[in-house]
Amino acid sequence: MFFKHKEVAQELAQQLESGVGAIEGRSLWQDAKRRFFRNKAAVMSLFIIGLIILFSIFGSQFAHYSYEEIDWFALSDPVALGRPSIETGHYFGTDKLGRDLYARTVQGSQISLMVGILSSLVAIIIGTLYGAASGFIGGRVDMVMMRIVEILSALPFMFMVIMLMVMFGRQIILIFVAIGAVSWLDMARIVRGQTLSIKNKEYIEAAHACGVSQWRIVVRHVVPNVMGIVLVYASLMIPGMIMFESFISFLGLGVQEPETSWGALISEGVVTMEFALWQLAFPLTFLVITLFCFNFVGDGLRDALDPKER
Amino acid sequence: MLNFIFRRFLQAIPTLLVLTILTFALMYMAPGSPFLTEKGMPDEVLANINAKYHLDLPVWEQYLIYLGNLLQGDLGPSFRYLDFSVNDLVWPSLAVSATIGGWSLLIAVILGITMGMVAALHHNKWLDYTLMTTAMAGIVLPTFVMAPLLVLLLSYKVKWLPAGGWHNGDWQYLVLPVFAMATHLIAQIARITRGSLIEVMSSNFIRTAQAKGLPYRTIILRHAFKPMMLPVVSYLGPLFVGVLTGSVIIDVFFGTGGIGQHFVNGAINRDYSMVMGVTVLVGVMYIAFNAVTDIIYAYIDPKIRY
Repeated sequence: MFFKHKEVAQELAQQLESGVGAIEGRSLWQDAKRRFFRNKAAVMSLFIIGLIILFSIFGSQFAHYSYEEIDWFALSDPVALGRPSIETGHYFGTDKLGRDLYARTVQGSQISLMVGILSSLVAIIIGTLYGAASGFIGGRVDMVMMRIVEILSALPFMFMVIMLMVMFGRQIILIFVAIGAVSWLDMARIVRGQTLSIKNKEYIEAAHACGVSQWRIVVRHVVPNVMGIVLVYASLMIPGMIMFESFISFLGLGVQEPETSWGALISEGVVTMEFALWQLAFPLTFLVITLFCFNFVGDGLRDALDPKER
Repeated sequence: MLNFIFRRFLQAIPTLLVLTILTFALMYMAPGSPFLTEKGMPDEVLANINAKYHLDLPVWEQYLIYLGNLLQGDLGPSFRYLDFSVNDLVWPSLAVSATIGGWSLLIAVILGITMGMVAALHHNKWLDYTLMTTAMAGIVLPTFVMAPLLVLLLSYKVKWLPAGGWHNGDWQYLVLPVFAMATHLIAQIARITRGSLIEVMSSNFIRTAQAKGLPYRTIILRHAFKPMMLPVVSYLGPLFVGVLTGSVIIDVFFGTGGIGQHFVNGAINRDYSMVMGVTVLVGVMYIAFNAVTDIIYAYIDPKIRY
């Protein structure tokens, strides 16, 4: 068999010797990248998310009004004059107070995306470090740390976050902290599980033998190796966060006027949906498309990074 | 088994304690006093009121009194509706929420599992893709989007069903809230069931059953069903949370007068004792439900030792 392809074998031997045109190995990440970019739905979704982010950053350049400015002319008859139209400059129409809905949607997108991404980041950082530390140290410390997570995750946090919002005022910072602080729990559990399986690998032992400190092993060797699974959960966490913020804003407890978010816009749009459907339709479309896309990207990442799941 | 159930409920006690301490601390730290009015009142009156509600005692003593009352089932007086206790207000609305939540859970479990199984058994065929795209839509459409859309379609456009209200639970008034709440849950369950069944169907014991020549139905119902249910059951806990959060939106949007409405109104009116009462009540239910889920799980999964 081998001798039949003598030329091929010789060529290979030469390549190996000279190092020219040698076969390159593919790392886990390159493999994952290839798998991800073959998934058309995920790539398309990533592209659309990019567009929405660009919209939230540069969208205000094209607005004819600011998001808090009231167009008194449109206010006189919101149903007829506040309609979406190119001529008046209200591309998405106006809201019930005569403010430009296009500018408000841009502003809402900024807040919603920011809350989604930043609070996920908070949750991921806390969760990853906590979980990695707990799994790596092990023993009694691990037991206590996981018991704390268990107790905390048995509390109805959604209600407690609302309580927090009510008692300490509606501050955007508080939303980040509250949501982020609540959702690191699952992350910590997942990362701990992964860490336990990584802990006994040879390269960790080698690091021990070289006298690397515990903390450095966690940060340099354990955390990068659980990054794959962290990334998957992060992409699924962001839509959850956006939804959560919208939920709080829908109840009227989220962002403070004149700032707005998709949830707040939807809750305003719901009131007037009988005669001014556009006030609901535009923010709703943005929210739903974003959630759809993040979910597809998340699924794509999971398929790409976690071949077992398929 | 009994021993396991007993231990599982014992484990819930520290969680409950943390829950009460956290909620109490939040209420204590909240700025302002519920009885400070703009007009102000004479110091003696304020002192009397503070004494009546034990606000003059040290914090830990206040907490112990609250805990003592709580153990006797007393959630304290409402700060907003002065003649009512939180109990008077909360229990009737809990019945409403339980009706809506119960129906949605039932529908979600039945429909979700059926959808997931059908999709899994037609893995990678058009039926699978259709069902799973629908499920994805159900997941990204949150309850607060689903509710207005349903009302817009079925109440304003075709005028089949009332847009809100409760009317002692007449079925017409029940359909929209239940459906709005159930869609999200159906979608989640369908996705989990599908994934689980696909995995189970490729395992060795199913291949053995097929090799034995067992009929298809028997393989699915007798061999695949139970292991398929494991991830679904472990999702029951979060599912229940979905019902609770959904209830907040449903009650606000449809005005059904369930427990969520009291929570939001209490929050907006700064009726701290009401908000706390609801939080504690919901927390207790939530923790109890988690414990029940664990017990069911242990019952189904022979690998779990108890």
